Amino acid sequence: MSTKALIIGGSAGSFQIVIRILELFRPDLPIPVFLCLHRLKQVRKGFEETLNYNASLPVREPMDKEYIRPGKIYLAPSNYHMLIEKDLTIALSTEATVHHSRPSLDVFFSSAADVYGPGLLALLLSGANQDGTEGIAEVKRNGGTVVIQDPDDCEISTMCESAIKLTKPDQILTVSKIIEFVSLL
Amino acid sequence: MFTVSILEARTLIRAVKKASGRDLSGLAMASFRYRLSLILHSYKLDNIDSLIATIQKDSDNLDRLISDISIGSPDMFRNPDLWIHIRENLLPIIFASRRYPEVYIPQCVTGDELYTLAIFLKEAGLDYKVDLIATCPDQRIKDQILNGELLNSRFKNSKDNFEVYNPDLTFEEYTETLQGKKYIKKELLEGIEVKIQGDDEPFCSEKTALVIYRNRMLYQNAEMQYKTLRKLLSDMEKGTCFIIGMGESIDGFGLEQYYKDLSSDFKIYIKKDVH
Repeated sequence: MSTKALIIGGSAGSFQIVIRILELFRPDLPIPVFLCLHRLKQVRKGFEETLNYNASLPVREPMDKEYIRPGKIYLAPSNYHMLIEKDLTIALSTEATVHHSRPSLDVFFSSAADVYGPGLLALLLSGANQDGTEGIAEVKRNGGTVVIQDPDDCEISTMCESAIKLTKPDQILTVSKIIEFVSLL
Repeated sequence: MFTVSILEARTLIRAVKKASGRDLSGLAMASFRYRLSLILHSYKLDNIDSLIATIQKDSDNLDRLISDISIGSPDMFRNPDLWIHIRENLLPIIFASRRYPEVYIPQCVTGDELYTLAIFLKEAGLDYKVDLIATCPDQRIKDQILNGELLNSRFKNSKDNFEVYNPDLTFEEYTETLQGKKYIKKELLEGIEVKIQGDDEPFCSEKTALVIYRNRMLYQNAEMQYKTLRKLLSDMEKGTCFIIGMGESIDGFGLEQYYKDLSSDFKIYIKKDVH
């Protein structure tokens, strides 16, 4: 099954890796990329701009009901959960936080797994809580591919360790290997 | 997390309609299925059929389900920068053309947006009275809103937001603790009107200066959004302002001739004069 979408999740310690990944995408990237990263809820400005600084493709926060397009990079907006509808539109919501997080990786990864099934490639990076564990399990249950940053290579390993405990990933990679992996997409 | 399929969600929608007449078919499906999955888990039920059986057996279960499906604003002073922007730049414009201004907050499920407004207007120290009117779907929610209780789960976020909005004050100035529970101060609720809104009732009146309708359209599918937006714009008088959520968009519905941006960055619009 070819990859239909890439989802990347992370929290504390993931920002610099995401910045490096964003430099890699070629202009004719045939799939959409989604970033679900824990961030400060009261700060709306600055995060998206910083991610865009060296990104090879524009990163933007989608609006609710926006159509998902290949070659676009979508950043889950601050203080909203991000989900995907079956008709490939973005759905935002303000339901309760999950693991004190909104956007929550569990919510987004589960929703993406439900829509893209085996065509989903999920990448979980460094983070300080267990958000993402259930989402990664859902990706796997739906036949998707899971890549997790090597906990020994993480700035904060809690998130990746927790996910690995519940789900056997397809690959566990260091940052340099992740960069290599993504550059082949 | 998404243990409820679209088919099962639609089966439940039909069952609720049959049991209560309430039409949930306009709900956005992804978030609805997410909530249903959480509900099954918290009710300790295995599937939608069991949930349907519980609502058919007891109308209290149906009310509880409707309440659990409904999503309110998650905390007070959400997007504190929006409230700062209104306070510093927009108050005179919003209320300029109204002699007895009202603010309407349609389709409330919690009181958070209403309490925010009450504090905001008190702090603004206007030399004229602004009536605060909220609408909600049923008596149970109306009682909850007027009860003024602030759930612990939302108290911290509300406090954090407020203290960004006004670093010179503490949130506790506007709250009180009674028997271990936190409430918005009673004096802030005085004069607030909460109405139960039927499907066809208006979103506002001719006196309304501002309609706050943030993050409600998120839970509607595109068809319902169009209906809602058309009704909202039709109910508003020229010069009435309205605010939607930062993640929501009203462009692309073909209704652009009825409104213009007052502050696109904060999703604040004003109804245009339409002939």
